[in-house]
Amino acid sequence: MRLASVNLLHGRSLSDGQVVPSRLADAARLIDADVVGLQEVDRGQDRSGGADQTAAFAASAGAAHWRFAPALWGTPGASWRAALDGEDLAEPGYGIGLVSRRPVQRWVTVRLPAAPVRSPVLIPGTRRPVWLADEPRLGLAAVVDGPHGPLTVATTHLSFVPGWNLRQLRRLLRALSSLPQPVVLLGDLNVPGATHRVVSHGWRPLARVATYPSVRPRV
Amino acid sequence: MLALGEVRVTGTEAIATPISDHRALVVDIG
Repeated sequence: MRLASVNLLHGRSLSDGQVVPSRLADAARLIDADVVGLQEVDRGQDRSGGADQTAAFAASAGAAHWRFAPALWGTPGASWRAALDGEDLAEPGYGIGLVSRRPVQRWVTVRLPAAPVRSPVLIPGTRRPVWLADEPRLGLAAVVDGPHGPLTVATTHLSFVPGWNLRQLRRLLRALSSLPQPVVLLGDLNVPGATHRVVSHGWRPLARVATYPSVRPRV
Repeated sequence: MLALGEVRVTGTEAIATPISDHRALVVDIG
C-alpha cells in the first residue's frame, strides 16, 4: 500500500508562478499513491480558478473517496474566518484534503486553533523576517479499509509558530491515538528534525527524506 | 510521517511534481 503527503501550494508552479489545472492532475498521476494527504489546498479560490482541488486531485489519482477539510473560509493571508466542524459553505475555502483509493469507514477532523500572537517568518527571496499572524489549522483522519484490516491515515499542516506547532501536534496525536491502529500521520508539521519527539511518545517516524525546497531539498 | 502501531515500511521516495515548492513524500508499507 502506497501512502503520500504533498503540500500543493494551491497548485502553483514555481517555474512560472501559474496555477494550471493539468499540472495538478499530472502531479496526482506521478505520485500514484493509494492514500494521499494534501496540504495548502484551495476550494473556490480565485487564484486557482475556483477549483475544488481535492476533488480534482482525487479524480486524477483514481481515488473514489476523498474529503476537503477547510481550516478557514475566505482568502488566506487576507480576509478570513476560522472554519467550524460541520460547516460546508459555498464560500472560498482553504485547508487540507485526503484522497483514498480504498474505502473509508469514517472521517474525523481535529480542530487546532491558531497561535494568539504574530511570529517572524523568513519568506523565500527576502532578507528580513516578516511578522505574520497565524491561521487556524486542523487534522483530518480517515479510517481506511486496508489490505490487512482497518488502518487510520491522517494529514495535517501545523502552525509555523515554534512551540505552538508542538502543542498542536500533541493535541492531534492524542486524538489520533483513540482511532483504530495502526495510525499513520502524513503532513507538513513545520517541526524541524526530531523535535517532534518532545510530544510524540509512542510514535515513530516512518521516513527521513528531504522534500523542501523542491529543486534541491534540504529539509 | 509518524506512525503508531505496527507499520512495515518497504520503500520511501521524494517525488518532484510540476507544482509546489515541496516534493511529495511517498512511503510504501507492507
